[in-house]
Amino acid sequence: MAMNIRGRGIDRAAATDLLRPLLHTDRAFYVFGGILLLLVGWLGYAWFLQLTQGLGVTAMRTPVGAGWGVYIANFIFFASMAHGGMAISAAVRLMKLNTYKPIARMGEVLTIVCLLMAGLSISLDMGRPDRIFNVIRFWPLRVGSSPLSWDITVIILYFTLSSSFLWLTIRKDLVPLANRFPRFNWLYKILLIGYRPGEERQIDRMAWWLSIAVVFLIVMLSGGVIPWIFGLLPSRPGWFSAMAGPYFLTAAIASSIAAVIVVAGILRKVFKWQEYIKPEIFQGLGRFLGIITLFYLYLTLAEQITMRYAAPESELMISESLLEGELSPVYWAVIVLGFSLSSLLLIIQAIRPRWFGLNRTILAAGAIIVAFWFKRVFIVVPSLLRPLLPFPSGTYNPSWVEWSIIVGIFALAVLVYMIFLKIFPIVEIGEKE
Amino acid sequence: MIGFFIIGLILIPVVTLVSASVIEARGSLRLPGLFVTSVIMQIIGFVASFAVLGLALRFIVPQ
Repeated sequence: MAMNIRGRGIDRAAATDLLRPLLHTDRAFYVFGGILLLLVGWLGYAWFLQLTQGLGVTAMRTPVGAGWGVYIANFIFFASMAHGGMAISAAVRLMKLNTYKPIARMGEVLTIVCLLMAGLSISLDMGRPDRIFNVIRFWPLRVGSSPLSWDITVIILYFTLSSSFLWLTIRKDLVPLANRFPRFNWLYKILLIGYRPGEERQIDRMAWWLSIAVVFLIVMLSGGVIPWIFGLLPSRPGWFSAMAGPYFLTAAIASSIAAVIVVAGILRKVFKWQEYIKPEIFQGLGRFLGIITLFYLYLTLAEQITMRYAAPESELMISESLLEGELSPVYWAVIVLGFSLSSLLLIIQAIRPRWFGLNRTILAAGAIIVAFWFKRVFIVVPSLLRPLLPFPSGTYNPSWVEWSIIVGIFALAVLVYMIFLKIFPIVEIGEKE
Repeated sequence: MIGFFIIGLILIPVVTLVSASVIEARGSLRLPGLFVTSVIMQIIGFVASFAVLGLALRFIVPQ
């Protein structure tokens, strides 16, 4: 093989391969980018309507109905998906898992993009977003008691640490680019501020400690402050649970690993990186994803048994709406097609490696991601439709404005990722060409 | 005031680990300085963008 991207050196041909997204832009890129831009524009229009006419254009209602809907589900989904990439990157550094090094930066960028979309989702849920600065203004008063304030604090901290981490580790790859791509020379120069050749060793040592900080933050964010928005509230049936932390953390690990598999699989195919992103990467991640998804199924079973055996009536009503009520068709599709069959497929591949199929693994990971999006809706909505207070049960069907905004957020996420691909190397190139 | 305990529980280890990465870079404070500056500037950026966004939206959201 011409090169070993896990090693220190790299030849020019390999570097050119890995810089393919920066070197070539075909028509498909512009067409796909144009479609995404249209969807983002539509998001802008839908948000404008929501801003000028209020949250009445959504299907969210209170006190009868759901005061939170797909926006909050989308926030949990993106905040959770933000963890896998940084977790893989941290694991590469902490445990020397060099096999996974080619996908580490893909994951780091996924983290940044997902955190941005999580922040956008929760901003779009606000009835008066013009008062958003109150979040900062009253932070000292709120942080003592409000899980939402804890969330904002930890998410901002996680974002700034992740993006600074990415900046440090990408610097060495920007040096050869500064001369090769004059169009972005100004940007590379800004990012290379204070650069000195040979700083990589020092960055590696720093990154080791920062990786521990990142892993700790992942646990405290997805297994702590986000689930505590729900798990600490006895006022809503189905939420008040000590299990919320582990439950959310397991979901976050599974959905984010699935996202890394899908992103790496797509980039590998589109940019013909079969030589660099080996099937063994997908085998390893797929094996882990299969086990963790199976564990999530066990947690779901434990939750449902608790809700059905001798729980208060309101808890039983939520379980009934999911298992045999109006939400059951989608719920069972999520459980059977999204989680059970996908994890079964991945575990069979782990037991019998010769049955491994790359496309099957990517497909299973994709199904798990979709299933987790709906699962987040099932966490948020049913509990709000059946309140403990003496109000009748409500209904919730997202309006076209909500669907437009959700689709627009996904389009924006892909667009931001594509823009990064066109400006920065998504695979670590090495220290010298 | 459980929130102060939780925020402390999160921030103290993170600050300790970031400090460890700074101490690890013995002899040169250039890279740790850049890293810490980047984190602080981004936090300031977040606060400023919240203020700017809030102000801008006042022209769109009916008052």
